[in-house]
Amino acid sequence: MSNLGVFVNRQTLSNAEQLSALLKCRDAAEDMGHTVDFIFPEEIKRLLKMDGLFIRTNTDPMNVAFVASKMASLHNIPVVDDPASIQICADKVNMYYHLIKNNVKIPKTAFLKKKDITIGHAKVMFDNWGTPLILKEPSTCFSARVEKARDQADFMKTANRFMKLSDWIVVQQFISSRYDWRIGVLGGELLYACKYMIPPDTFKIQAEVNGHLVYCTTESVPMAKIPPPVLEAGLKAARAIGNGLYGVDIKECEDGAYVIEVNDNPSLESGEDGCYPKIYNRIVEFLLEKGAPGIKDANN
Amino acid sequence: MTAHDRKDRFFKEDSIFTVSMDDSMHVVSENHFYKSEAYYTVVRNEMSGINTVPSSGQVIEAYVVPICLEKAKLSGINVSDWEISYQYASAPCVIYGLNYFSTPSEYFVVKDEEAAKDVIKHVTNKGKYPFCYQKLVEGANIVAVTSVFGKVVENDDHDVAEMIANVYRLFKIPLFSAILIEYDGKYSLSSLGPVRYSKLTRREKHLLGEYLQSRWAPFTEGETQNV
Repeated sequence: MSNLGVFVNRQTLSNAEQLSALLKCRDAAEDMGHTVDFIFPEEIKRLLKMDGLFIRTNTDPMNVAFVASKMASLHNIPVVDDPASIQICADKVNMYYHLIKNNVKIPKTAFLKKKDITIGHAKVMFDNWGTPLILKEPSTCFSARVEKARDQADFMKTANRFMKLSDWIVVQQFISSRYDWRIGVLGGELLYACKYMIPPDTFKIQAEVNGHLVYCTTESVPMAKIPPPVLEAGLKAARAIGNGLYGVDIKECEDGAYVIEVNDNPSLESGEDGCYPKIYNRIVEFLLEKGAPGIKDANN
Repeated sequence: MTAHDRKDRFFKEDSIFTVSMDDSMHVVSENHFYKSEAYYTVVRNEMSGINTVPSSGQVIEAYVVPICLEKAKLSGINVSDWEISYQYASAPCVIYGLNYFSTPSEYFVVKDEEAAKDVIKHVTNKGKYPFCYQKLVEGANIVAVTSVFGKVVENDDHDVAEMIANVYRLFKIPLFSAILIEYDGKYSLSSLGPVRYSKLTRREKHLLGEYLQSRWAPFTEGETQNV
């Protein structure tokens, strides 16, 4: 019997869907003969007594979830999400560098610095990549700070705003779709697949439309119905980052499957597990019984 | 123009220098912070297969206070005990923010719990984010030192020099500021943070200049200069 620590915070528990997902996780671990402790930031040092750590709060290299991940890693405790995955996925520049290096098919992508934010540069990008362009501040999560630029003025305004938060920003070719594929990957293998149906009037999975927050709906898809190029792209993209738990967003087009991004700490509470009822069993097994194989902290 | 004036012009704000030493490219900057130009220079080098010092991981480890202290402790460096909280800190203590917007360069020494309340409200954005605090014993002093390639020129204490040399070996950041807590002649590490060129003393600039003297290249916009 092993002890699984689940790192949570008040925000995690204030959401009914997330709370329900955490209880599913606990039940799965207990059914497998393990015990589960929920660990809050204030008691972070308790994680040193755990046999494995599963992080279920927003991750960023600058926040307390990263401290938990790194502490686990420093003390050789198997952890999902591991620090290297957080560091890469939380920063779109770093993430796209990894995808490019591993020949993963992504939309045309450029990293711009302050000196690149000019009307002339914007014109060239619109001429070459079409309208609109997508601008991303590297620390975006849940589609925040991902915006369309429809003209040069739009481009300048958004880029200059994002530049206040990061010295580099990401500009991408826009690829239209009614839904995003989400391929969940654990340890380099498929964990689940679903479609995120994008709400009307937006191009993001979560957005504010006319003052209201709108969310995508989730449609779980069995393995047999995943188009092979989508599955292949998802696995390849996840493996380009590491061997942990990832949610890979993919847009399927006539000329193939484009990886839009790889997320660490993917949502598991919105019906992603519809066709995959053993998601949590596999995560628990990965952490407690297999010792998170292949996850290593490059910085240790 | 004096040699000192020339050095001042040399160390312009936001300048990044690359130095080849020990089969590695050392990226020297007054700010390696996450998502800064220097940070992305390191990331780009790493993705190009260039052995780069510091690594992007070392930068993040160094500048997130609890991680810095945990890693330093595991390597035998004397560190200050730390706790994480959202609302309460046992005073007297040193308080650091722990969120997307915080920097270890901004720390607060609070003497009593009433004073702590205002600081906590500020660093947590009214309770939204956690913070890190380190308890201070009565009579403890806060000491700030600057490290230039692991050397301290403005503090003569042998223990400080040895600690900073060890910290440099661990995190490999060419230029950093260290906050130490001194009590009864003993030092413990409290945090590491970036240091502006403009805050360097003449002797520190001289030492940094010597490191850069033989093989340096001022960073030009948009390009990494290999030297």
